Amino acid sequence: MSAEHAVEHVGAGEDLALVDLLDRLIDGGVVLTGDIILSVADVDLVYLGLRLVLAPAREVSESIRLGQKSPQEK
Amino acid sequence: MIRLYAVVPAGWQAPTDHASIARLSLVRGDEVAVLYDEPGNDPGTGRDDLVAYGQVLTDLAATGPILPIRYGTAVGTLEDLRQTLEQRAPAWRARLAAVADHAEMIVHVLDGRARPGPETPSSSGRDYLMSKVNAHRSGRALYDDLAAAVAPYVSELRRLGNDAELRVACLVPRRDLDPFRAAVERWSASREDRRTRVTGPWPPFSFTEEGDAA
Repeated sequence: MSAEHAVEHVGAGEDLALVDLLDRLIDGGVVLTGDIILSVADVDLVYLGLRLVLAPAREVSESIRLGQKSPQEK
Repeated sequence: MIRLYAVVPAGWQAPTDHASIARLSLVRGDEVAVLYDEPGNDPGTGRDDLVAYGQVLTDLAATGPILPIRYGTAVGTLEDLRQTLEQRAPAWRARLAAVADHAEMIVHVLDGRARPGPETPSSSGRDYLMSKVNAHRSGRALYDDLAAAVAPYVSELRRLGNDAELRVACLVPRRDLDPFRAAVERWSASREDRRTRVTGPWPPFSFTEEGDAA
């Protein structure tokens, strides 16, 4: 195998893996919906190559959100 | 506000050597339990907050099977949490069994050209649509090829994202992490047009629900 086709292994604690961690935190995991569930982080995620820019999260309104679409889905 | 972190087995015990875990609280049901904290009025929604939350989940995953909860999920009262736990307990118990002794690895398959060529402008709408169809088929073929190569070492697969880049989440038994990496290397060696990156091991973010592979 030539060097340029070697697989790049990146441990979970390395900076290059940060994109995957942040992506999975907001797009993976158990999803709970319902009128007793509050969503406190509605984070817009913008990928710029491997750089990650988080837009400021919207604040949670007082009312409980039921299946409200994220800005990306609207 | 009660911020939720992860679902764990009902008999879960906090380790004594992890300060990040020791500060969490637990609601225990008959079958499963949920870890949470109470961050007050400002739970934090910046990048550092997500990273810190992710680090707690990574530390938790080292203590045994967990189902990470999507960042930013909260309930108003402990009674709300108990109600949710009771409703979801059977499904969560089943998924905890499925992910026990496994870790998530994410494979990125990138365009291997040093400088990808410019896209040729489509001469017609049909050409544009056909180029999209071909890209989808190419991505699907690549996914199927990779899936076959790692099949002996993977319990479940999920395709992540869109067609622009192939990203595949793999649920890998912890005892097979090294053979899995070796299988990806063998597969990558045969694909001179692609570069491959593997990240992990992660908690099973992509495998908290039963589903079909993409």
